[in-house]
Amino acid sequence: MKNLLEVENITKNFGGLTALMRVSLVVSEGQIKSIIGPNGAGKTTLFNVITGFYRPNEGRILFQGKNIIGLPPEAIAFFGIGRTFQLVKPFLNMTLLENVMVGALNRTSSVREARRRAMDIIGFLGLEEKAKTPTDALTIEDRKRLELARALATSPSILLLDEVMAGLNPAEVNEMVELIQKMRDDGVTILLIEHVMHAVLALSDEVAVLNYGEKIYEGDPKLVVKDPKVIEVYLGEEYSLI
Amino acid sequence: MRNRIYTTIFFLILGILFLGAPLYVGGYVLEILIIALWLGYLGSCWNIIGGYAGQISLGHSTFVGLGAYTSTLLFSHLGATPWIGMFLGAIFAMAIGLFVGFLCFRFRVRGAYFLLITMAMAEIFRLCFEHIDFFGATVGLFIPTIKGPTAPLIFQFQQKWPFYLIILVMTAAILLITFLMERSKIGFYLKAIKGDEDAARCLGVSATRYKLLAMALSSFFIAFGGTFYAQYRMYIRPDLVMGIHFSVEIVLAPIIGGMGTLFGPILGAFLMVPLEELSWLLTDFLKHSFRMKGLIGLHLITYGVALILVIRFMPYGILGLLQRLKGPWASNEKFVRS
Repeated sequence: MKNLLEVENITKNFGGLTALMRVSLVVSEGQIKSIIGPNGAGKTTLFNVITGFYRPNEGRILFQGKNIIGLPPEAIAFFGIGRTFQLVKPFLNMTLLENVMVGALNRTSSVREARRRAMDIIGFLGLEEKAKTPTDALTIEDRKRLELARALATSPSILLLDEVMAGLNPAEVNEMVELIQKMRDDGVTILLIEHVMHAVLALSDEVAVLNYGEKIYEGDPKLVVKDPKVIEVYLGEEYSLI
Repeated sequence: MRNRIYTTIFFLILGILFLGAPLYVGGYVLEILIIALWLGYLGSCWNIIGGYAGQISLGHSTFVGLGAYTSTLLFSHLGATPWIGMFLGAIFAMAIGLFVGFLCFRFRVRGAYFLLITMAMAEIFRLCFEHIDFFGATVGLFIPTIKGPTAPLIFQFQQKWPFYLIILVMTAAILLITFLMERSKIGFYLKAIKGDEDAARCLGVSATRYKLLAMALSSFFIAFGGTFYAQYRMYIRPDLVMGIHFSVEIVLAPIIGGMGTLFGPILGAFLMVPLEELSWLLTDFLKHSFRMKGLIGLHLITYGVALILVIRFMPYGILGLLQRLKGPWASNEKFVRS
């Protein structure tokens, strides 16, 4: 399979603190890959580097073979990397539909076409009834879905999902897992940060584990739960029994 | 469909009423209408960057002032007609707007800091103009009056009604521009930037470019308001068309009427200006009937109270509140208050 996104030796320092230490990661086309690790491991920092919010001190990021370091976030979004935020950032001054339309306008200048595409995606995520609702009246689950819808509307090749399941109840988590699988089936490659382990195990083709800015494991999700180092720093003893 | 017909009829009637106003109102009411439309026009221009894009600027008086001074100086020194001068003024104002905007947006100056920088700009320009003799310093500039049949060619009229029609057309034009913008990609992107700049950028919104575009439109059009004022009063002075005080006056109408709404600034202006007139009447009444002195600032107190009430109870302005009350979520108290 072709490599879609290649992270090569990325180092990011904040003053004296090293948030990422020569992290390398490869996401191939059509894959679902998860990044797990304890809080403060540098997972979100990695997302911020990939999407152009932070400039790394060292390293390269190749997207479809081209280096994207130094590009602003909007250019990276235009090239086809979509992302959601851990703390949802809806446009509270707009309705749900309008929020998604902003994403859809990434690929077209026609508002009418953007509306059509946004309606499709809203239907895909099961939010039709709330399309005209102002965003500040939405529940947290709907806001998470809105984040997803908006990012999906930009027609990304790869979608970076930052803890889209945090704060959801088990039923909602299952729905989200199904949605993410459907998105992959539609041809979107997915890189996700997640703490909900059973979702990670159900979804991922591959898992990478970060700890204190270093990658300590990358590979098969079935084996990650048996890796002694991962168990020690993140999963805890009970997961080794699965 | 039926709704659209009603809306069209409503606006037709409103348009005819406004167009015909000089035929059935006296000079005093016409004066109030002109000032209200003028403030509504300025507010609508400000609304593009302040209301839609959410970049609260307190520097827009500078652009009004630049418009007024450019056309006036060109006329009194070179004899150039203000009809052309107003476009040069607008281009000049836009250049300054883009310069300050570029510095702010490029280096991600946001929120209160953007407000402070634009406020400083307003004061810098006022102080400069007040101390340079070429600009008339604190005395101000009088526009040489020319009577006769050619007067309209240099934007001079002996009566009020031509000015009324001009400002009416200007207001209609800015409303049309805002209307078209609101429904285009630009409008969506500006609102997204107001909503959350980082999230917008991740959706491919080039925030800097769109904010600069909003700044350019806003500063270009608002400068026309400066020339209009200069020709209407035939006199300008830095503290009348520049400075923080005037900036605040520009911003008041959109805040009261509803920032980021099409008609908010006009509605705000039509509430504010009569309110100010009433305060003046009250001041006069108290002075003559009860020999009360020192009530000169009553209109400012009225403004202040109106502003406090609006921000406390209708943070989205009057139109913002109405829009939110219209939908099925009307019962949700959160919209009305916080």
